[in-house]
Amino acid sequence: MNRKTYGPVASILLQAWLPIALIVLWFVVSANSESVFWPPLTTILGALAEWAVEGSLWSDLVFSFGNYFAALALSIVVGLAFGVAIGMLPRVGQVLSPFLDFARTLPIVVFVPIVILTLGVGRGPKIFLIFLACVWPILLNCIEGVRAISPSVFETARAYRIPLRLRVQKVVLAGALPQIAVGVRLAVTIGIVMLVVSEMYGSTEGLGNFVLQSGQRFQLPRTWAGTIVIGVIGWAFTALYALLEHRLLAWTRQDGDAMTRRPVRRGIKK
Amino acid sequence: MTREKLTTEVALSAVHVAKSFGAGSAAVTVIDNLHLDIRTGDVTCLVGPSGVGKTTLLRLLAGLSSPTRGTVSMGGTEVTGPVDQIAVVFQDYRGSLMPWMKVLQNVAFPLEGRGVARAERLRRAAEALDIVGLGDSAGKYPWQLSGGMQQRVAIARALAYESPILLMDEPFGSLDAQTRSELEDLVLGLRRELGITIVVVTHDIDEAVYLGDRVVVFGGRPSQIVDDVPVPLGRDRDQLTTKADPTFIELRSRVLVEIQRYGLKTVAS
Amino acid sequence: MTTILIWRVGVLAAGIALWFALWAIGTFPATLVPNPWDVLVTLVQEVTTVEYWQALGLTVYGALLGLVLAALVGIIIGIVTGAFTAADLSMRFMIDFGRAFPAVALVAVLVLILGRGIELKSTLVFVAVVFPIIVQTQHGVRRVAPSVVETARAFRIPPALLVRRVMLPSAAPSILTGLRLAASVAILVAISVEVLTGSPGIGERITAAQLGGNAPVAFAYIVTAGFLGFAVNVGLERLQAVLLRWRPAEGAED
Repeated sequence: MNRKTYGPVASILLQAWLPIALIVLWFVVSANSESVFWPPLTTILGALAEWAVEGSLWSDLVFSFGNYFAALALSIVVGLAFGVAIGMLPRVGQVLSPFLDFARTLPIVVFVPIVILTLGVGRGPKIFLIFLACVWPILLNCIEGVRAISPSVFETARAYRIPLRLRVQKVVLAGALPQIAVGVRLAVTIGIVMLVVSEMYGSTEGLGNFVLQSGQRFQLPRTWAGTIVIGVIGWAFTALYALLEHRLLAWTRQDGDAMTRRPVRRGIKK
Repeated sequence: MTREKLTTEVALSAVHVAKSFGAGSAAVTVIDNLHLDIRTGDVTCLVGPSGVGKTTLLRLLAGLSSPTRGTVSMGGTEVTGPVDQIAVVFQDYRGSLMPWMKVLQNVAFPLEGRGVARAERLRRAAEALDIVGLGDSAGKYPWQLSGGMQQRVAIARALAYESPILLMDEPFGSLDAQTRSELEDLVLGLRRELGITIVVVTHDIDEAVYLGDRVVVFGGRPSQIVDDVPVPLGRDRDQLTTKADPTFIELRSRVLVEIQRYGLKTVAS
Repeated sequence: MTTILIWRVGVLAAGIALWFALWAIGTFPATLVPNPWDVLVTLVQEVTTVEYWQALGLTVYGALLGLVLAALVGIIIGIVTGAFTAADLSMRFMIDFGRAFPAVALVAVLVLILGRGIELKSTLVFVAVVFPIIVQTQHGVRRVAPSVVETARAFRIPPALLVRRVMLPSAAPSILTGLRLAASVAILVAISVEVLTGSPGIGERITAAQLGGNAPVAFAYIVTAGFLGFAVNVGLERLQAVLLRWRPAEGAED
């Protein structure tokens, strides 16, 4: 067992060497590749450049992520609205809990064929599907977060007659924020998956569609290029969100168990 | 600070109150047919063994819970829920302060609830923090403060609320002796400077006699008032001389004897 | 207690009534909102067919295969990176990237290389699931108190024994949580692959039914997918509780 700590420079080097080595390796090994399935890295990058220059890369990005952010925003609003309501009404939560548990484990992807084949390949059905996938982790984690707020906090708010709107804003939402953040983090990731699936199933534009079309036309370099773009963006969003979460939750850093009845940092994953 | 001044001689009144929990055969009657008047401008201390129902009574006075029978009234009006004129300091200071707000925001929060403008409420909050001696800690988070300081913040919050009545439920129970002494003096100072009517629930007899103008002793199950002791020790008290005063010692023994005698045995009324 | 049960039955009944009402109104196409009674009847009918269980079996098989491989690889990598900072730092970027990468995106490329069979499904499940398993295992390994490790070293206990008798039991709650969550994701990915590529299984049956305009069948399989996910989740939760009976609830997800 070697749990040494390394200085900042050594740390960066250690984190960087393997990814860089692998990319270089990929480049070298594939350079003279004749295989259809594993084109040279340069060819892939060329296809990427071509896609960008043609112009459709940007419109695909705008389409895909327009849908994504619209759905994410909608799922945050709906998820928090219901999450707060259910969290603040414990009896409602009790009654609904088995249904929520069941819905949580239902893979939303099963609705893709039904929704797209019935409602078409436009933006609306896709936004709806992404929303369906993203709303559950947010809703469920919000409920958990509200439940975890110490009852004394609620009692104090009642003793000082804090009006409902202010209570929801500054006591419930603020107190549940750490758990809500976990839920949003899951939604960010799940959203990308659903985005890709909804576009690959039926679409006229978008990243997923680009990858699908290229694949169907056996244009491997373009397919790889599209896949890599999706992967990189998915990773970038997750990384950015993690940074945002870190800054937002500065106050939980040192807080022991004063706030919560029990430590709840588990993500309630869909 | 513009604090509302109570005009009546009796600030709070509990008339024939009873409180039971549970239903049917499992019902537990904690308080039965109790009558208590809290006089304006006094520090009234409620003492008794653990579980006797002091906290229950305090919550009834505060409007946080409703009596099974009887009424609680303030200046003639019945108390059916929390009111602006009553501020509460709870025992669990860690739970009652909002950890995601800084100290100043915590203290100002009830004012925000009342709709006071931002600049004004922050000013009053800062003033309240000064009174409790935490003017420097306004920008900190509660977890950065010690237990005693957190309880001071809770007191400051009650002060900023500018209510004429302050109810405290075992406020210093979880603090060490030194901190407890400081905060006891703080409470006396509040009564002296601001003329607030204060009710303190405590299981510490010394504290009850030291703080109170009147000590009400509870005992028995269901809880009854077994003694009502006036404390003629004057308004200027301090930890050393007051606690050595023979009157203090005598009163304290009296209360102790009563608590031991009545304990939680059923009391014939 | 029973009042809650009554309420729950009430909610269920209200839900079904709402579904029925939506179908009856007819504003939504019948392919989107079929008659709930039809769905129930169809489900009962389907359950008696061989195709139903074949589809279910194929989905579970693909998910399981990928899961088992991912568990083997993931736990090993998780232990190594959890124990050795150098390994951890080296692999950190790859693991972070892999975790955030939507594995389903690889479907387009991999379907060309691997075809539409079990290999495609299990490969994608593997890719999707190996990273969370690694992270959970790391989590579990790091929870082992350094003092325990120091003691083991002081007594010069061989590494293999240390891993088997000390590390794994200590890391077990986290690892089991990771596997449980991975199982849900595995089912999800397997079904996604089936929907997107027509690889045989529940997802493919749903698409086929929908293309044939047969919404009740499609919904019957949707309900099946729901119960499958639910059963996997609840079943593994119970299993985890039993296995870790000797412990207080632990193993929080990272």
